[in-house]
Amino acid sequence: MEETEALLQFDRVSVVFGKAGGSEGLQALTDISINVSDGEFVCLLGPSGCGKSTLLNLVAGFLFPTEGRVTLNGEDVKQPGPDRGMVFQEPTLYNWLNVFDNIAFGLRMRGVAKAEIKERVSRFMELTGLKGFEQYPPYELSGGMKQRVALSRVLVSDPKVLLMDEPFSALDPATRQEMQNLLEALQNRRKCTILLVTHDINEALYLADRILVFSARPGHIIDEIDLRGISFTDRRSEIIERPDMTALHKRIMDAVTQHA
Amino acid sequence: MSEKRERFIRICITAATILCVFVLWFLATSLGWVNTRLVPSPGAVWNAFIEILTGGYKNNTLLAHLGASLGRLLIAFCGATLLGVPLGMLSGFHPRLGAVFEPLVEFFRPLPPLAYYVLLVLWLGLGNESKIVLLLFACLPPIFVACAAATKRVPADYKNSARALGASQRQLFLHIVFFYCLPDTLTGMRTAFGVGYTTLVSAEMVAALSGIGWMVLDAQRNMRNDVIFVGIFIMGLTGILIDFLLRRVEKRLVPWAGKA
Repeated sequence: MEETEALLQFDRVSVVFGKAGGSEGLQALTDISINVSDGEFVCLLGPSGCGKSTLLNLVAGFLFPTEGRVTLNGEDVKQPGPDRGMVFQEPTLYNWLNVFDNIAFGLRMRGVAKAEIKERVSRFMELTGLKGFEQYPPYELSGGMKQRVALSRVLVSDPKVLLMDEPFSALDPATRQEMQNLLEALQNRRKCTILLVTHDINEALYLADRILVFSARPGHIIDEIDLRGISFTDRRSEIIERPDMTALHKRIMDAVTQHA
Repeated sequence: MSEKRERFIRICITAATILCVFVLWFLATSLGWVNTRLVPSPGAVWNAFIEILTGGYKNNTLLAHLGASLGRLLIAFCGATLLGVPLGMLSGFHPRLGAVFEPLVEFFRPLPPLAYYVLLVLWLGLGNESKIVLLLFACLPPIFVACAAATKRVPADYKNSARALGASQRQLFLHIVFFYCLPDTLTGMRTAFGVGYTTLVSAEMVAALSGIGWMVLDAQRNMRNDVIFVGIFIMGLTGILIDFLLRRVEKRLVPWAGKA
């Protein structure tokens, strides 16, 4: 078993909530084993409440497995840290700070030098198309722009792993597509390991190197689709047109509905 | 356009309501529906107002009375804010600290101030101290409760986002929780000012020689119903004015309140 090159490992992970004394508790995840290699884009698909978000929270260090281990670079995840950035469904921007200060927040908290903060934040604002919005208060931005700020705020810390919990599901279709393109462009520039939770099958097919399909609670992996061997010329349009892609779409759909 | 018109109409209705009250009051006193020794006429109240404004009331000018009251209230209000905001927020943030302070405040909150005022006078003397402490006890619970409740309502995603960006518990409290709770805190402060204001008369019942509340009480003893009316009008109008000013401050300080 030569699995040591995995950056992120789930080793027989189970999570039970509210298990106290004699009570059974709520089983959120059972017996999950995943290896994610460096630079891989993994999409987690499944019905609502299947524990996909729980899985991200384990990597982020917001909660810990009841059984099993979650390791990053071979070490147990013990607490949150800027090497693992999280983007939530709600942008959770800090309304009392302007856009620039929102993106600079993490760097400031960790005492990065002023000049470096300015340089890094400006660079990311450029990359994410936020240039010119430095002084804007977040609450005046559109949903898509807010999510750009949330993404920049995390990426500016140069995380090893990017965790995204249905980040585009609250956006309108056009903006969602725009954000997917942006994410893809960023990923092509600088390989980041990404775990993205979604219930949009096309989004997963478009973005992922690998798709993990989850069952309803207690969540476990019921299907795994590796897209790395498939070559595309124009992935977005081919997802709708190519027969092998429509077959994959159907396979995922069937898996999700059967286990719902 | 129609919204502006609607606003204008509502202002007219309010103005007409106030006018009606005055007309009714005028008719009731001038046509002899009520005994003018019990209900002074608008003219008599106006004359009393001019008399107090020019000649003062019992060795103090009207402004001195008002200033004495507002001075006490302001000191108490500032003290309550300085105590209530940090205690309330820390109690909400650290449930174990909340276990210390919440029961104490819950016990104090429903007590009528007059129930313990005499004790305060016995302990702190007849001077300003006992009055200020009474007002402080009146102002503190609304601020504390608003802060504690707001702190508990900070969404987990907000706290997690900051932790994932590298904020320590201390930074999380000072840079995220404090600001997130600021709108509710200011609302609590406004409520506290209102509660303090209604306690003003009680606070000036014992051994006071100045203050707008004392003026009303003294006028009661001397059957100067016109002066009572003047005092009530002044208290009502300054109350509205102060609330208006606090609302303005609120808008300036937390322009994001109520916005996602």
